[in-house]
Amino acid sequence: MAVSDQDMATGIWNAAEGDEADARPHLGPRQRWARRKAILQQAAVLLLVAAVAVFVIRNTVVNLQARGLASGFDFLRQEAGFKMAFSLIAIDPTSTYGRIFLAGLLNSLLVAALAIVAATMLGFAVGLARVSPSAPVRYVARGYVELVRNLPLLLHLLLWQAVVLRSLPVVREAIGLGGFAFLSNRGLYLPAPVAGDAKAMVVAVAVATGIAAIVAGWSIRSRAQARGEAPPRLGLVLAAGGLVSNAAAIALLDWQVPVLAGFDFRGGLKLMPEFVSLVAALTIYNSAFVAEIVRAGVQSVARGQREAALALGLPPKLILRLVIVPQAMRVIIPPLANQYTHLIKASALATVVGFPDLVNVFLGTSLNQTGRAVEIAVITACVYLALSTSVALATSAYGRRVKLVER
Amino acid sequence: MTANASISVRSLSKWYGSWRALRDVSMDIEGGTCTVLCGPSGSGKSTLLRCLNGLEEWQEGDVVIGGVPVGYRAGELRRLRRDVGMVFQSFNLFPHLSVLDNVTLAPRIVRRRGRRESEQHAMQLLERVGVGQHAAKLPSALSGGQQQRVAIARALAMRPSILLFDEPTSALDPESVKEVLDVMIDLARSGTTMAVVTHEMGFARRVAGRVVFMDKGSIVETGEPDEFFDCPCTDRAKAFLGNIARN
Ligand SMILES: Nc1ncnc2c1ncn2[C@@H]1O[C@H](COP(=O)(O)OP(=O)(O)OP(=O)(O)O)[C@@H](O)[C@H]1O
Ligand SMILES: [Mg+2]
Repeated sequence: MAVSDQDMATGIWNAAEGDEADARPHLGPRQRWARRKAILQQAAVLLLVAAVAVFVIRNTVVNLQARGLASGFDFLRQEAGFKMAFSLIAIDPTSTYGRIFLAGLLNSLLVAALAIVAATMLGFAVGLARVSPSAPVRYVARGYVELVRNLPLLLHLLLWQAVVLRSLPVVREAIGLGGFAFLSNRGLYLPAPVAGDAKAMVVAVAVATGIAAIVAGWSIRSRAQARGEAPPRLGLVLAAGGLVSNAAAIALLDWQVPVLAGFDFRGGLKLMPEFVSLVAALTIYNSAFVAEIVRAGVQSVARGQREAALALGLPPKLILRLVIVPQAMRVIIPPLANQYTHLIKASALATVVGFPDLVNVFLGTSLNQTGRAVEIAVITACVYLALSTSVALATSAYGRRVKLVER
Repeated sequence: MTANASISVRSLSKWYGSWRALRDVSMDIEGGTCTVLCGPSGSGKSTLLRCLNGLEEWQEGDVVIGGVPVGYRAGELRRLRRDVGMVFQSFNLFPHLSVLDNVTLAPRIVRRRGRRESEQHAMQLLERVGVGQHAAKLPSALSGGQQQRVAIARALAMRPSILLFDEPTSALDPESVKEVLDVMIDLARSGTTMAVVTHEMGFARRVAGRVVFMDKGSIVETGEPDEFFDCPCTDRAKAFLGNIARN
């Protein structure tokens, strides 16, 4: 990714500067010429881009007017008149296109976020297994990667769809999971808190702080462990406090358990089989690529690093975690960010299995109903651009934090 | 293990595939003495040294350190390596950790020392090798000679009873060579058992009890440094010394 390459370049440059950097010298003739050339080139490119943009926009506006098509973004406030099979915010036929857009965006974000987290964890595990000292572990990991990455993503998706739909019982014979959750070929039914309550806000805050406390406690603990120290009490207190606050918050909520009513379950949260297969396919498919990225990163670390750590008597697991992986991150992060961008865009395949993601409900149904092709395409494009850019920014910030140092 | 363990190598043979890198090598290093290994490139010096802390595996023979045979189980090897420090030609400092963390990492994890204690000890060692003022920097901000001295401090931080050096000065400029050799001379005089692969004759003459000359995987000649350098017995040693004198 261009952003991170540039960052690494500046990093190297900074590292090369000595402590007592002398006052900056005047520009030499070659540097002056390079600077002048750069300004001329940039001006030329800017002019060209501006000319193309003016041409495209003018053309579009003229064409739209010629065909008598309305333009503008006022349609976002119109009633859409359709329902969504799955949404995180309430959607009914009176909801506006703006709200449909928001619901579709949230669905896309949910799918992408879950798949990114799961694919990263699975991919790291498989990637490290690819370089394991144990031959059987290496072979199994290799087989997984080759099998998974050489099939088209669409095939993964349809396979999962077939598996989830075919192998599960009909609603009437749904598999009960402890009487609270149910699994059928219509999806996974989970208990959900009743929303709209004032209490819900308090509880949400309590859960959020609880989770934050658990994460903080856990990271303090694991850092201490990596230093070979006894876990500090603060970490334990934080983790325990977080657990208690979460338990209390969960008990406080009004839980609605799904109940069988007629042909379907009522109440609670229903995760569609389309959702489950989409997340599963994205996770599995991308994990194979993440695994290859991790393997390449680990193998990029100089052999001498491992030997120096071995010669100090460090155990292999800690060598991996404290010496190899931190250095491998330098090589892992840029292609990993790239893979995340692929995944986000690939989540638009939701349309194929009929999951209501942004592309499906907005670029699909909403566009068909309103005919505002340009506006809707532009909004959707902006969303994906913004998402990809945030991934790039977030990963390069992380890259700076883990100090992508020169060897 | 005793403070200054002895090293004993018995009929060691090692093959890389069908290439025989070590041929029936036997050698003894008394506790508290310094032995210099030299010989032409590819003669097996590094291979022999790396067998001493189990970084290489071998097919025949034994290595006995401080009376304990070097085994092959991971746990045994780790216990051995705690007591046998190694310094490499290319330093191999951990580039993502500060100089201080490079030195304290192993004592904290392997020896389970507290942070404060290991940092104090690390600072003493860094002062001793003359790079105390660079403790907070990353290794890449140091010169080669400084990095190699940090690497020596890192090995010393485990309080090893034996130190192995594989051409510690051959990647350095002449001035840095002296800095590093001074530290090594100091260590040898303080009675640490040392096995050093080097072609620095001055170092060998000053502190080595013995010089071992290797060629084509076997030990060809051993002797006291002055004897060996002034009148080598074998033709191969003569030819080799002639070569390094000319360069
Ligand atoms: N991993 C390996 N695989 C195959 N052959 C190897 C390997 N390591 C070393 N050798 C071979 O074993 C022989 C001895 O190598 P070694 O590194 O011990 O030599 P050396 O005496 O240290 O030489 P130098 O002075 O160049 O470091 C060489 O011929 C080398 O090519
Ligand atoms: Mg060598």
